[in-house]
Amino acid sequence: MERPRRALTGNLVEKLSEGDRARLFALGRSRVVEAGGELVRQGTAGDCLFIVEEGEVAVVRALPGDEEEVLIVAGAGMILGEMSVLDGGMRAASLRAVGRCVVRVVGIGAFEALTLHGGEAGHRLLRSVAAMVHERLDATCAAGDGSCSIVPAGASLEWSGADRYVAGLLGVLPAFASFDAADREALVPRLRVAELRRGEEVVLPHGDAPGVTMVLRGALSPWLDDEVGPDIMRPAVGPGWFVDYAWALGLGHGTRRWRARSPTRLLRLDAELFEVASPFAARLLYTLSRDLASTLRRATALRMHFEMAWAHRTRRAAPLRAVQEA
Amino acid sequence: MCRVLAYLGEPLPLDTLLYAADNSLVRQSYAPRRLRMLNLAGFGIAAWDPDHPEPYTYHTPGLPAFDNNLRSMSRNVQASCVLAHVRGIPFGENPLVGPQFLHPFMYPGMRVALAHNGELHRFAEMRPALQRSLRPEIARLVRTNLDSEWIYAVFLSRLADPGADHSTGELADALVGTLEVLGHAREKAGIDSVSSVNLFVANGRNIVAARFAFDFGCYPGDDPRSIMPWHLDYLSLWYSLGHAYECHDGEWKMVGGRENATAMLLASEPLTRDDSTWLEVPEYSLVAFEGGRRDPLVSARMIPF
Repeated sequence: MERPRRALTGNLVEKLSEGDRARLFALGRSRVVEAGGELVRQGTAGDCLFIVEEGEVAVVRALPGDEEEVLIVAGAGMILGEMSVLDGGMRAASLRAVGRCVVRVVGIGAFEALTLHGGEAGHRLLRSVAAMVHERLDATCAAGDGSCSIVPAGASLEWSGADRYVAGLLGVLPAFASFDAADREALVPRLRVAELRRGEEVVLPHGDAPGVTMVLRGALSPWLDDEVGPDIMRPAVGPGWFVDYAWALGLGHGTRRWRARSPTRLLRLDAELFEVASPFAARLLYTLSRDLASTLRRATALRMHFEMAWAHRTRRAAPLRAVQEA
Repeated sequence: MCRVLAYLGEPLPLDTLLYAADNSLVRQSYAPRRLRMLNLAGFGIAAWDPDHPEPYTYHTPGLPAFDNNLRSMSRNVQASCVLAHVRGIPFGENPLVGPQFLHPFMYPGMRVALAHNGELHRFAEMRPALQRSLRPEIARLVRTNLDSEWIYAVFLSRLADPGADHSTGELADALVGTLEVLGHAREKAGIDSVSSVNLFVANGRNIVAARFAFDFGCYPGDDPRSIMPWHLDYLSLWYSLGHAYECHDGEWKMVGGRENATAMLLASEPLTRDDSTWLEVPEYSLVAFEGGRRDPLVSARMIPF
């Protein structure tokens, strides 16, 4: 089997405590797959995730022209198939055993039961899974030229308190589908809103107050600088989608420059809402994880598109930045 | 909201493109998979063969699924470049339905056709500004008040010689220029609600498409109950490449590999339920396919506004 161009990031198991590892493994059953065996097929529904216990599993993506590409090879401790479990989408790639391997198969029901209703342990586990997806997203977005450019500039946002109208808007966003009217009203005091004009740029996360930003109305595109334009490796963000995840996952607070494609209203959720003591923590963290999985799915498609367009322009590998300038 | 299909490659019978796959364009008129609206307001096609610069065109306000003429013709016409469209419009008191509203638009004497997937919100308020952007000889050809036809007229007016044969670069520049003109007209009219403009142009040799939305995410009105799913999702646009579009094991797909590909399909949604061999065109970008070569040159460009 052809080897991939990059290694898979995010060894989940080695980052978990012994107790959490045992809880996760107790959710599923081990399955032995012989060399070349297919665990899942791209384009099918996903009702479980996999943890590689022994051996290696190749992640294989179909390409236009009826070809295939080995995206990555996952070794012991790696989690696979989590995107479909989190965002409910179809399998984005096929999984095949490189040699004889053993995988732990965790069903979506057991995973949701633990992460949504499993208290502190469930919260820790979901946060670890989301952090791993975040790591993969950053790796995918940086695949073209080795970095996601960060430029410290942008508009000064004026945050103001949210009102009941905002609570009403949350009711139509799929991200808050699991929140009833009373939940949304209870969220309001912990929400802030800010406005951006079309074409205005902002650096997020913004300011000193810890919080997680999402778009309530309008759209943002990741932006490099005026001479280069949009960051082609990261998807645009529309209503109900998160702009940054770091505060909620306890990660570093790196910033990113965005430009408003439309008149945009941002919503900031207090970081404490994502802490385990919050009655909304499990649902918000799951919503954020779902968003992360969808964004990783879209970022992977972006990378494939621009690599293909570039390949047909020049017939050689080259920095993706050049495509943008073309 | 419409669905569109474009093809560039070795000549193919039209029925393989319009009817054969499990999510074919004709099927998308009554059962689209990635759109929560039906497309029952007519069908149109421009199909070129390599030996003739002028395309075969056919438009019908009827349902393509029930059109025996189309079905019969599509079995007997082969084309190397195709631009086809099924039209969807919202229900209303005064719907613009009829043969004059059908895409793709192609005025007499022009070499390039255009189809539109989307809608310009409050278009009537944009028309005065757009009128001033039209070349006089193009303005005389405009027959309707339909947003899509006016987009075509603006697009032609952005070409140095509208009746000439154009490269992908010239077509792409004119498409970006068209979006700029539309944006300025919206600005003058004070319009800031979402309007999707996925545009497709073809001239028998080249195909260029844009996936774009003005003020995406800006749902109209203040009542949250008026927010519809299409206010929250970009209209989709997909493509696939290969050497031939064939059926294998009951599944239609591009085969033969990407390297030196000789064929390209571009569509509002994949023509098959299995979308494994399709890629999505990114939001706010253009994709261009150049034929007449050993392989169709694919290039991509972001739209920076």
